[in-house]
Amino acid sequence: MQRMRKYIGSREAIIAVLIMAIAVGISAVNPTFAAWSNIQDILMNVSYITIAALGMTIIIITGGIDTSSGACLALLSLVCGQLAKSGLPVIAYFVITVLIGMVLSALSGVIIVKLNVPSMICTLCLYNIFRGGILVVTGGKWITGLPDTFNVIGKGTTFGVPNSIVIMIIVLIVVVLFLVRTELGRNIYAVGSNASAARLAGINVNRTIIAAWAISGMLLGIASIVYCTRYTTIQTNVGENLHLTLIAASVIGGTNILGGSGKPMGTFFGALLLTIIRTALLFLKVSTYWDQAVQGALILVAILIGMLHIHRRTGKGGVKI
Amino acid sequence: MKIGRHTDQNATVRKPEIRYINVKIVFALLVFSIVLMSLITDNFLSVKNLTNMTRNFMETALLALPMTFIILTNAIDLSVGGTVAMCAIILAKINLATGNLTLAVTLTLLVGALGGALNGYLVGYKRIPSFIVTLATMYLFGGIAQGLSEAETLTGLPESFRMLGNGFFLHMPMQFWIFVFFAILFSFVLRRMRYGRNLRVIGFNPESAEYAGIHVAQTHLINYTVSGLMAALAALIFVSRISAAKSNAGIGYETDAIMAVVLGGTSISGGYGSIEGTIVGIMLVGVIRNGLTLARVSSETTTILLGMLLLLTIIFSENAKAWIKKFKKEKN
Repeated sequence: MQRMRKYIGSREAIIAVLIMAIAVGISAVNPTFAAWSNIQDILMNVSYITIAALGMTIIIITGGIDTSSGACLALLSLVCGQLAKSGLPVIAYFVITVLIGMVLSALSGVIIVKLNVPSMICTLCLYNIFRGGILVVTGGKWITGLPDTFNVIGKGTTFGVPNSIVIMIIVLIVVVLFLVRTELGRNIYAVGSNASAARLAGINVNRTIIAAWAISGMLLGIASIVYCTRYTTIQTNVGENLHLTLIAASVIGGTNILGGSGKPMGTFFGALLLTIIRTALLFLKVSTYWDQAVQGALILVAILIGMLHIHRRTGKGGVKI
Repeated sequence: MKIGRHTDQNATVRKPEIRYINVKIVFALLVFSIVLMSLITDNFLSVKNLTNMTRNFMETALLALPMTFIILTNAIDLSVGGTVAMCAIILAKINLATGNLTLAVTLTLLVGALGGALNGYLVGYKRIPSFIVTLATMYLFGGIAQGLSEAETLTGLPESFRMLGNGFFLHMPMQFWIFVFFAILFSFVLRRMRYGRNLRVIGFNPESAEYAGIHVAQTHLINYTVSGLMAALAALIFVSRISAAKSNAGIGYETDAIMAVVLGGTSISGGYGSIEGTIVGIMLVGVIRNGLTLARVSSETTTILLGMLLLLTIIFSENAKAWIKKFKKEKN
């Protein structure tokens, strides 16, 4: 048991070692990999994935899953761009984007707990509705002609560090404190590991799950802002397959797919590993057509390894009794 | 005890009458949409259109049959669309490389079955939630199709192979008879064989099914393998119908198949459902898709409408009983 605990404790360490190994290996083949501009590029990509993946982690901890997050990110990016074009002040449209994200996600939370729809199916339907809705409203046209102030987060820096990375670090710290220190954060773990026991302990299970979805929506809103402000145009097909990346980052980082456990720092390392692997494949000149297959395979392997722990811990399969 | 995700903690035994009402409603919906579609379009009820509709929708219909079995056990298979794409590309690739169609078809069916078996092994023996396994394999298989074909359209299949997807038998499209054969087979298994009964038991409660001596893991393995095999068959029909293979073959098939199954009265949390219901569901989804296309509704709007329909159906079928109970209580 102790060895087990030590192993889980060092999961982030193992991923970090893996990341270093890949980075050193690729740099040996192609020194530009270790260039500061490339590292900064990787970290910029990691920033929005991490923020969105933290939302996914919270949902998976409650025992749910969100397959609509990629479509939702696209929707929020477009809303943010459109609001920016309408001439609102910067702070106003950022706040509105985050609020819309919160409302949309809270809505899926309500459908899931109040109307007994499995989260998988609910978000699958919402995925179709969001993607279809985007194409109907925009007609597939990109959003262009954004004001200069729009790129304040994506292209700006604070003390030489890109704003996206600063925001990621702040969000990471806030989410860690939220999950570890607040009552709602602890309730989310309790509900995910055993809903009946949580109910008997006096936790309002439905309200906790809806709150978790709302928080995840807020994080998705922040992620959309960090993502879309890097560009001068916003395409309608952004965030394709993003939900898979988010689930993979959470699971690789040690979040139990059955709910009840997961760490924000693990999710960050998971997102970092995935981004490094993707960049490494580019440097090794592997055709991008294989990108999707690699991601699918990675998530399967990550879940298998994660499941192995659960099997060993409980002495039987994933079904908890 | 935790069996499914978000299962109602106070769930009591659900009565089959509610499911029956659901199928009745869907049947009424089907009649309504047929009438509606023939009113808003000129040629909906023409023989040519009906034949076309049958042809285009039979691939999804074939996938909906094993999907019924899988959903009955409170699992799901999201990877069927990816499997169709992978099998279509592999069929065309092997045929191009060897020129031996029999070999290509055999290997395609084998690949489909192996893909399904991988799902079944992970869901059954490794006890990983089915939605996460099949979500990953959906991208894995779809990604393999993309990687192998590099997003190109592959052709070069012999003329004789076109029979399967474009031929007629007794004035009906060839694939219609294939579907009828499998529908009868699946219905027989579900109604008359012990295997079919086991599926419902697993859907109600996998733990007690295990204690009752049902081999749950093996049942999942068989279910998913059959699903993969049917996806391979659907891929053969797809490639034959359009005489080319693309890596985006089968995109969205899984949503349509799940929708047909759920509309047909199969409970998404397992236990209740029938092949007959699924057939009605297939017809409804087919009619809506075809009718809206004829009415020049854009495919994006159709996607939105079908997504909403699926969500509403599940909300209704999962809550009908509680609502009716509440309604009766208020009346008294």
